[in-house]
Amino acid sequence: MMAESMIIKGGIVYDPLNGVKGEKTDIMIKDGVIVSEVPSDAKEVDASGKIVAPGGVEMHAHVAGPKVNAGRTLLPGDFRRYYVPKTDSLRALVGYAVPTNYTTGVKYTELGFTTVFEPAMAPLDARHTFEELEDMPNADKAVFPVFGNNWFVFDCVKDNDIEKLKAFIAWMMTETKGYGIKIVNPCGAYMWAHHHSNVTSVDDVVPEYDVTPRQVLRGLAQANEELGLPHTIHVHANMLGRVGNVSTTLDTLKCVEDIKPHPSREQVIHLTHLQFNCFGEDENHRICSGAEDLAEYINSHPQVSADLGQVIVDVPTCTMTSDGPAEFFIHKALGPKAKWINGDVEAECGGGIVPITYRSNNPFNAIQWAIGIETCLLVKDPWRVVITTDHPNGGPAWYYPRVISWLMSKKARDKMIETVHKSVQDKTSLVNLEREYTWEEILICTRAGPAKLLGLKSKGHLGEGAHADVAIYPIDPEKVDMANQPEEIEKKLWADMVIKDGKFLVKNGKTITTERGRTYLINQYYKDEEHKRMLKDLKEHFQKWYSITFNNYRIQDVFAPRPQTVSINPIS
Amino acid sequence: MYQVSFKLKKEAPRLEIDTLTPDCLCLCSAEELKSVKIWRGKKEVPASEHFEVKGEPGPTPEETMVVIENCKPFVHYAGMFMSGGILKIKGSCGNYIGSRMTGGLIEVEGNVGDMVGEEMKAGKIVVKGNAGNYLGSAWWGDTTGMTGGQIVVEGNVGEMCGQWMEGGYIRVKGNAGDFLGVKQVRGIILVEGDAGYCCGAGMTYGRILVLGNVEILPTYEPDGTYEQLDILDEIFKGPFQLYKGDGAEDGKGDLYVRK
Ligand SMILES: [Zn+2]
Repeated sequence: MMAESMIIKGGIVYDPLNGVKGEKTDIMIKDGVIVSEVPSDAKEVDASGKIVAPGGVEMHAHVAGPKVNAGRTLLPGDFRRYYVPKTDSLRALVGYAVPTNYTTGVKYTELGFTTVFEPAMAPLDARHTFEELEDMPNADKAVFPVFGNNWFVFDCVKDNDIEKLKAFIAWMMTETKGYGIKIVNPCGAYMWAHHHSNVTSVDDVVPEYDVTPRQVLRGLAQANEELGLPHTIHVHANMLGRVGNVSTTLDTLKCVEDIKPHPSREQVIHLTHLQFNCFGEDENHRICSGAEDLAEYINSHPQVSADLGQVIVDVPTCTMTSDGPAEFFIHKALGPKAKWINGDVEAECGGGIVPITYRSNNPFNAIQWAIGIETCLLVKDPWRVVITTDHPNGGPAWYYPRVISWLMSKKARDKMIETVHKSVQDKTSLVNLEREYTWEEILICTRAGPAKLLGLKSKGHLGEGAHADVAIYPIDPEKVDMANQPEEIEKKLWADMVIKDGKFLVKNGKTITTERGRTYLINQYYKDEEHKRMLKDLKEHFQKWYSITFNNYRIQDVFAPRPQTVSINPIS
Repeated sequence: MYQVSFKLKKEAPRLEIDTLTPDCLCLCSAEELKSVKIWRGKKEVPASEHFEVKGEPGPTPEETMVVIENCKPFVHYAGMFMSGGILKIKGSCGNYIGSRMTGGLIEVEGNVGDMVGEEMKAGKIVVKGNAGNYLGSAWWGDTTGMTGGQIVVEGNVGEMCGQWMEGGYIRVKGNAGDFLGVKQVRGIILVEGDAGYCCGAGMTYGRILVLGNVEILPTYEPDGTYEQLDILDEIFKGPFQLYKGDGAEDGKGDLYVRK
């Protein structure tokens, strides 16, 4: 089907990046982009009484790679939880928490999301990750290679050689077709693989390298800002899942306080799935919410952004991270019924997978559930907090409508608080929070905000020149009072129509066709002399530590057939 | 009670009859009865192609009895998701009988295949012949088996009976195969004959009674003797030796063996 010109008429348009707040305007599309004028024969699309918004931007969802595949292996029952037989236009859909890539792509589209980022790729597993991503239809995608436990990074950081680190980062992004720097439990995964321990603060020392998580975070943040990658460092902090870890999280954020952001943005650090790193500790050393401390810090520090990692209770799901020790801890905490996998990726990182069902009657899980929305409500600036469930770690992304209903309606929250364990009432401040998100804020948290944080210029808005990714939801915000009808939000946040690059993918709530999305990637080495100096050391490093040769490391262009190269802007 | 009967008249390599339950058939008119769909291999066909249909279903599942006559082992999924009423199977039957059922009664006159009562929640299954493997167990790879209800097998059962069982009662009047009650979490398994290797391996809670012979795993510890046991108001004369385990999983399950 050719991309046709069309005009979306009569919709209630929300385009926060361009200051459009629920106005009745027309959106015009030609050749796959938003334009200000279309030929007179342009197709008319009636969107009257419906919300017209930019396509959603998912900045953190584990949708592809060996760990997702391992999750599928551990959850065979997941494949009969949701299945739709194939039709003339669609392949069969199978799986729920860790569905097939095809299902993931289709479900995201039906939610109105047109961009999905895979946030943790072991660089050595890049080929597998891209092969899976290639099978995920519709969405534009990108991956974040993992850096926080890479031995070469440790070497650079130990010598405080930021120039070499910059050259290494640019090289790694180019070779593995990455987009941003992911840091998972810096130094912790190394300590797990080689000392059967973990780091407990940002100042624990890795013996062989004599570096600390603080140095790694600072080194990578500084290199990232000087290099001018589109996104800040994307950090999964130390001590994930441990009671009282909010202090470690605040230390992590403070580490990079004095680092100057790249001129193109205000942020230097993105704290991901904040819920898992926001546990306080009460006088009996039990869990309580740390949301107030964290939100206060985020409110007073514009250089920090975060995403929720909201927990969905009573839904079977699967945790999967590059944080091996955290997964082992979860496995131990869950008892003999919990299956688990732990893995090490040579000289780079590790990982673990544990299927889990968060229980509403479990005090710990109930508080986890509360922390996500509590923080989201306490953070004043919606541009710096993004709605995610860390799919599938906190729960499947298909629960976004429900998460949004909790944010938009105190009634929905109160109803939920009644059904979960009562610990939520005295260990978190959720019951006292009156704030209700507006449509504009929700659309910032799900598209405009993440697009801006990820440095995606043509996503998350409907201004001239933007990709024609449009989601149309069957809600009339003037007619339906969201706060009083939370069930409506939940039902109707499945898109009625979705247009991607000017083509209809969803009509009347049903996917009608699938397309291939593009891959955002960086393909640019750092300064020539620094690059050469780094390569000399790196080749030696490969000789010493890798089981594959240097020349086999780069993944071929064929793995990302529709690349969208993003340039880096080093500051000199 | 209203009765509908399906008499098998034409064989096929595989038939799936999860639609022939009181839940699906109640309120059906005579016309609708004839056009009820079943699966033959990967093709959906009307039940009347393979069965002779007779009778009239009741207004609710509870008032409906479905009889499958001349049933053969290539017929699978009988009584899946059933919530009430009676399903009588004359002859033998294939796999997944009463799988995930939530109520009602299933009676089978002959033998049944694997995965009978898999993840069932409530209701009762009575098998007059032998049963295959994975009776009352979890789906392959899942970790929650049968959570309630009763299964009575008058013959023998195969391997992995009551695997990951979390409630309910399984009674086997014959012998049980290897790995009886493996990974059992709750519920009761009673075997009147012998049990095979690795009985109760990985069990954490729950009860297993073996009236015949069984080899006790070394990870079980003797814990006392009982003169008689009372299982759902039925007295079983002992003396019984109680073993606690499985120690390998830090389990606190009870394995009673008649001395
Ligand atoms: Zn994650």
